[in-house]
Amino acid sequence: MESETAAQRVFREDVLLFINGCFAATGQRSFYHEATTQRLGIEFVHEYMLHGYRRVYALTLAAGINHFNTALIIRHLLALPKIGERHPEENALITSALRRLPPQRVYRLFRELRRLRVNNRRTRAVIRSYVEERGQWEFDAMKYRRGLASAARHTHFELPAELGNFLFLGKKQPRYERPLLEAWRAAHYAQEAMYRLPFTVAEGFAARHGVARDVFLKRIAQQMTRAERERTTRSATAAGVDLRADASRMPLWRLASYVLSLPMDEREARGDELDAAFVASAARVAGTKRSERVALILDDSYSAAGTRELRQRPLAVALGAHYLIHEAFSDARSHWLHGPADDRRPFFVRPVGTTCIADVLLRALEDEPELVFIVSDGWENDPPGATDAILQLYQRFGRRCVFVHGNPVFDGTTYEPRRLARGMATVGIRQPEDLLTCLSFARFALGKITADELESELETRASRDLR
Amino acid sequence: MSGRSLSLSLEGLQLAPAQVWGAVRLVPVLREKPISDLRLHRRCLGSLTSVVVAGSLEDPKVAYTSYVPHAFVVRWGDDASSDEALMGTALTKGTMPERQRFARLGLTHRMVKRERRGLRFLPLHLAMEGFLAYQFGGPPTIFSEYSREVIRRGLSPRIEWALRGRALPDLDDALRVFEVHPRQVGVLLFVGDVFTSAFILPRHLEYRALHRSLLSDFFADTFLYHAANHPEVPDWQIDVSDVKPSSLGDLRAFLERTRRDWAEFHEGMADGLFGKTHRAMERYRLGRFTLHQFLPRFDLGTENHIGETILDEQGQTAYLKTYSLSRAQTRRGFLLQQLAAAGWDLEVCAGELSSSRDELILRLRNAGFGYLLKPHVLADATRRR
Repeated sequence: MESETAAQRVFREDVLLFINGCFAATGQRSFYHEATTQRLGIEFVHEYMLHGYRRVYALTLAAGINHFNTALIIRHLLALPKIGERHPEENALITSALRRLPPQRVYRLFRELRRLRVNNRRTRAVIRSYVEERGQWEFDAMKYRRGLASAARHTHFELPAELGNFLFLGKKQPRYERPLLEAWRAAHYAQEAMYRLPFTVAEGFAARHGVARDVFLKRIAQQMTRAERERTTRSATAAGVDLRADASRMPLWRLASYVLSLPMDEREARGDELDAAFVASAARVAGTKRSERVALILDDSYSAAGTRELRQRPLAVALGAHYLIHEAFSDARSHWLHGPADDRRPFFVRPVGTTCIADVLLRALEDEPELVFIVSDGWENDPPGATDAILQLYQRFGRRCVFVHGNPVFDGTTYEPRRLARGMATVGIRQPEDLLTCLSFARFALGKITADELESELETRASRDLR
Repeated sequence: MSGRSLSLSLEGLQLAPAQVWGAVRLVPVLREKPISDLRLHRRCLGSLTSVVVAGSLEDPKVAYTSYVPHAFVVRWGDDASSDEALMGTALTKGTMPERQRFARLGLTHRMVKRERRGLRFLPLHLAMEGFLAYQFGGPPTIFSEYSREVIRRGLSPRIEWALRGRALPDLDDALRVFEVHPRQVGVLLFVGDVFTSAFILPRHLEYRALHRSLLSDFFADTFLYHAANHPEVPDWQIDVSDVKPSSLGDLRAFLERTRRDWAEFHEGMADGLFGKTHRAMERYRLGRFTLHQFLPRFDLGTENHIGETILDEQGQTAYLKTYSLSRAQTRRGFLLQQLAAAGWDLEVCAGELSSSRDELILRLRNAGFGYLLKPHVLADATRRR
């Protein structure tokens, strides 16, 4: 580490700041800041990386970052090609990253490229090959109609028969041969036809025909995907329709958000079922159990309530982390700042009260853990800066212990998730599932790795991804 | 208001570390033992301007006009029984607020009024009324310098300006992101690190419901400048350089000490209110509690707070709401106080202030009291200067 030059140190810190941002930032409003603050912050970091370290910037696509940032990186790379150069590696990374993105995000990216008037040869090729490789022409035309139309307009690719008419003439054409397109045309005039369409498309027609919600949901149920079922479960129950979304098959983050949206008496009534669902869901991502002694500190202060866009998101991350850590480590103990009424039922937790991490940290240190993991948005206020002080003091006499802080909130004003203390690695964490990735990245954040190692680590991840 | 001397204390209350947002610093006030036999409700008045007929029996024509968004209703003793639903959660007869197409003028009878159940008063306006009515009667002796209007009708109309809480930068966000303590019953508000207001209630449940009501209070316009001068007030740093811990117990003690230091420090910051004596007037007796309205001693060069408070028989604060006067307002209060002490004789008063009569006249004019004097008196004084 001593031999590290200033340039290498700057490089290492820049890259870590960027990757951290890529884990946490979503460009949405957070509890403390406007959406604009966050968007401006993360856009700046992207521009900076693109111009400063283009290769690493592209390699980050394979580092397991979130969808929002994946799309942002692709947009920046395509918008600024290096003149007169071929980029086989970049192209491969972009193609593989696009495959991982959900289609609505991809089509939004394409529309964004059109808005920015990015229409170089590479961009056209990327868009064309994505749509062709997907090969779901009819479905995409139906569900992402404006997205596909805009992509076709932008890059002038050949559309299969009828599709062009469908996208640009719509219901003006008297008849379509393809059944899905025909159902869509007919749904403008006949209610019956809309039940053959995808759920979100049919929803619009249901409103147009004034179909009652419960009637509609009952008949459309067989067309719904699993994710659609899961996210409409509550509104369906309110309308008297049981969609039977299976809680135990939900991914951990969705399960946590779903459970936190339930009223307390329902959580009470379904306690055992939800508990089992959490354990099952966590076990799917946990892998083999590790033997370290871990203390987990979970922030359930008022700011964990999140925003209207991300309701109780920080709290959901904490709740998911609680279950995951017990599945991933054999000797784990979690400590809430204020805590649910019943310790065995952590999903009764509510975001109320101050952020008094220092007190809980002291309680956690009594067990002499080897690893302390804190899930918090980093806005400590009771008293502010106390965690930092306690940590400095503890390191003067205490046992060796690694401190990691997972922060679900990106702070646009400082270009990174807000830090809690010096000597504590702060890593962005979007979903409880990312917790284990987070821990492996904490190694970098603590500065225990050189710039070269960091770059080769990213390369390894990229080559694994491209294979 | 000649009232008795009153000193406010933080007895039975604790201060917790401040929470900072932009120019605003909010210091939580915690109560060890909640007061269970006093209840406060908020009642929205729903009109844009209120005229409060504040007159006494002798002079019922005196009216107080201001924007009054809400009133507080207090119940005490047996009426404040705890089995009743709290703070707006009580089921009442459904009355939807009618849509307002015109600005409505509300008429409220008296600042403090006994109702069928409980006592209704207008928060902060009660204190402001005390300030406006200070020496409202004008000169008791007919000196020739004073205008005829003042001799006949006193200082009427007496006007003061203030800002609504919403106009203060950062206050809205500061209250939104503020994390309320479980035992919190009040808050001390600092804008640009200048003590602005204290707001203390009997119980934590009431505080939680009235937390955002600070936005509809009013504040002296100078706080706009304080906020502009210190747009980012600093969080305090904890110093660990000279601590030598050897166990977790030491750390716990250190944390405890840090909290205590902070509380003391905040107490020091609020010394302008709690460290001074005020002139209080008793407005109502509520069982073992008393509602007071108080005025400062108008010290130029220091903070001056007006306010209202409910104290129990031991002098413990059950309810407190204060308003920090701006410099100009303090000056007006000070001049009235000096005039009154001198029996409204300009010559004597000028002597007390060790200045000339003309200087005093100009001082009165600059403070906004030009209308008290006859025009030619003012003109002469201006000319001679």
